Amino acid sequence: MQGVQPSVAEDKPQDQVAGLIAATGKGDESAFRELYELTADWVYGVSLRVLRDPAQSEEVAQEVLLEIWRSAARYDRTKGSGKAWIMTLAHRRAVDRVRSAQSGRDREQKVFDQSYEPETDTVVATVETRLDQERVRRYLADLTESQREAITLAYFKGYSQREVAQALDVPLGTVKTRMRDGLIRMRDAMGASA
Amino acid sequence: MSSPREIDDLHLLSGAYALDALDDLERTRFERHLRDCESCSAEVAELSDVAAELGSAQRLRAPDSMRAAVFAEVARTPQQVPTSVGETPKRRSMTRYVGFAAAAVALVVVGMGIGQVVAVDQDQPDLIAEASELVALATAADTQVVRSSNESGQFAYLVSTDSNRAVMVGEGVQTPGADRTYQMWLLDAQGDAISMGVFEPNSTGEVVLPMEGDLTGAQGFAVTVEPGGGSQVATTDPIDVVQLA
Repeated sequence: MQGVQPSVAEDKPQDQVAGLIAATGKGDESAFRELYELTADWVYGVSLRVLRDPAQSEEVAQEVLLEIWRSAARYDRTKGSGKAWIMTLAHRRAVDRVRSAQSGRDREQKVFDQSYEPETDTVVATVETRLDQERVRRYLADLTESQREAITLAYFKGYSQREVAQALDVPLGTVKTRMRDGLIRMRDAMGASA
Repeated sequence: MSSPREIDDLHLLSGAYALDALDDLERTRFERHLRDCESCSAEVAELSDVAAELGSAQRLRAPDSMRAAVFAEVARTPQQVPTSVGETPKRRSMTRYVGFAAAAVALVVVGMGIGQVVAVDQDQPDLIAEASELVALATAADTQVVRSSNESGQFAYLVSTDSNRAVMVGEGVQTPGADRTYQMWLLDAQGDAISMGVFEPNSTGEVVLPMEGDLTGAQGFAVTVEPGGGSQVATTDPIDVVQLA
């Protein structure tokens, strides 16, 4: 533990979330309560960022937290960190909702509507949130413009890789590469500052 | 099975996967690839950590009403067991059937000779009993065979209402997705759906699902995708529905 530089994905001894998920999986309700306090704001926040609707986001976040309770025993810490497991559940659920809500025409229009931008000022950010966002903004700022575009359209707006390709008018293969290269760059930057 | 070119493409999907930018079909294919590709699994774990940082940085105080609602639900929500298949009544172990699934699929879907099925399995004696059960069903006088094909795969239902036996054989069946399972329902004369168990395809997309129970009055079968472990009542629209004659 002294001076060891853990890579981002390694099962860190301090993966508190993973420990709480494991305890929750054994039916420990107090562990789940602790897990809730630790993660509910992440889950709600990412839902809101993708869905942009507080009522729907609350619904999704609630479903996700219940899903965590139900399927905690299925979490396998050899496959990834506890935080990643929870955030994947949350993000995927929000994205599913956005994709099914915006089927067909409506969604295509939105893909091309360049004026559609997230209004970060609609939420009152806490100081902690601002710091987190500032940190992530710095990582994103270190990417190339095209990597950043691909990643933010996919992650924050829930675009599929095909929709990203369409919106940016580039081949699908290019989009795949930009997303992967961009995330790898962020991974390296995060590892270096950890 | 996949060409080198396809594999190349699959390796490149780790980023899109971590960002949830794949559609269901692409995700299913990639998850299948992940089971066999250690370097991709490791990369996905790392990139998912990065995505998780993007997501958690959006944190926002969750409404207090949510906490109360979640804890109230938790108090009455059963948890899933760690295995990949939950406890649904009438379910039978799938692993026993996987060994001869290829032969059974060949029999039903492609129409191979029965002798060949037995020949394929003679080096696995414990499977022969099950295989002959299937053969008996396939040759019973009143057995109906209903086939259907859809985005999730090809399905064939062999149903003998006289002997209250049925089996569903699937080929090219997509995995149902993370924390999801397929569930088979019998549609009865009252319009009710009765669970016939949960199933998942093996690594080559094959399924053999024996069904037992009272089949008199069965109007057909439906398959839904449910949360892992299955559901008491179907919670999604069926991905497959067949009607018996």
